[in-house]
Amino acid sequence: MSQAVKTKKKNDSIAKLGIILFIITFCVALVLGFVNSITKDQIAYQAQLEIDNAIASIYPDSTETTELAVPADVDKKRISSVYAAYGADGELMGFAVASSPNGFGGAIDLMVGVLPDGTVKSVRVLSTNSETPGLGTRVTEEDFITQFDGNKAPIAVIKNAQPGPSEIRAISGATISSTAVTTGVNLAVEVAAQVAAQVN
Amino acid sequence: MAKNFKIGEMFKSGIITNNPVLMQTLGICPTLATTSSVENGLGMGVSAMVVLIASNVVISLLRKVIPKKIRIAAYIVIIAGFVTMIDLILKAYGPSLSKSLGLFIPLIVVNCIILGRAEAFASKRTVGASFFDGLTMGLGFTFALFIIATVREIFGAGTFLGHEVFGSAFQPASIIGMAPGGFLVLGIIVAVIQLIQRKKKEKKEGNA
Repeated sequence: MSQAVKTKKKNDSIAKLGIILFIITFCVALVLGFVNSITKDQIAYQAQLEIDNAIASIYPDSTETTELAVPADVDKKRISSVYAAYGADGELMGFAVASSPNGFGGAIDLMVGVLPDGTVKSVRVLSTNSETPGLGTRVTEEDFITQFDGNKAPIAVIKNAQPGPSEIRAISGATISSTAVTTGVNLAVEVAAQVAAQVN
Repeated sequence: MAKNFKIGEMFKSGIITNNPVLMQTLGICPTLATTSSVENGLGMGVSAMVVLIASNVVISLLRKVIPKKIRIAAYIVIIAGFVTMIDLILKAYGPSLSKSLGLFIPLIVVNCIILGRAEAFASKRTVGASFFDGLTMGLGFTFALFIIATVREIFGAGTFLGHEVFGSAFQPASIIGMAPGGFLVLGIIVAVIQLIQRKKKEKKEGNA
């Protein structure tokens, strides 16, 4: 009998514990939902602002950008959006492709500027997310990222040697991140070529 | 100091004698990860301090409501709530800092300093005391990060807050900026502080 009483008591307390924990979790979720609803628009605005700024810095003379449809056979996870930049007299200056290749610890978000002839104009790293600080995050550095400028795809990654045309030098200790960025750029050039066919 | 706590004493305890990083060796993961630059170290320190103060206050308020058996789960939920809030706010209003701290903001949830203070202090003390405990411990954490980050940024990258310290002839020892260098710098700083503490103690005993 004492066993039965004991079990009952224990059950009671588990239910009670569950309810208390549920109430705490519920309150936290409520507050977070509230904070999310306040910050949601601002976060989306920041993300769009970042894209706009990246395009503007790739094509400083552009006066108008239009978002184009991403080709259907391209993985939306890898290429999230494509933009065309136009100059003052309406001529096509080039494309900006938001490319997110898989890096060392998740996606690296890039904005790749591709000229209508398929040459890489320049590349901006929007976010390195979970690359290793001090190693993978160095792909944002000028010395590395400007290597892409003026190259034609496919671009290859090399180590410990002077890079030739369509070659870039990997960051020592961050080969995976360097290769990832290059893969992202190559894919962006491909997509830009597909889109260019549509525009013309 | 059950009820009438001494604020001055708490500041000294949090920043020096009981410094969470340098004396208690807590929270080493974020310490090593974010101190490769002073800006990141300070950003991490301040974010962790805000979470620590907020969670200390709330946990202290709820200390009679939360049953002992589920306290850890309850603390983690509360801490995670505040961390997510900070993460969202930083993303919305401080995108550049949010970007450079990246993954380490969500990782404040598992920062053992915060859970440690909740368990050791806030669950037993008044709201006011818990607030000051969060403030002083948070300052101690920030202070430790600042010192380590200063050493690592100057020797590892040759800069301080992004400004060049030495001429271009200086060849930075990039290992200091990497994880092994972080351990080395942390070890040396802890050793130096222990030495100072011991010298102080000896002097005191010598005088007495």
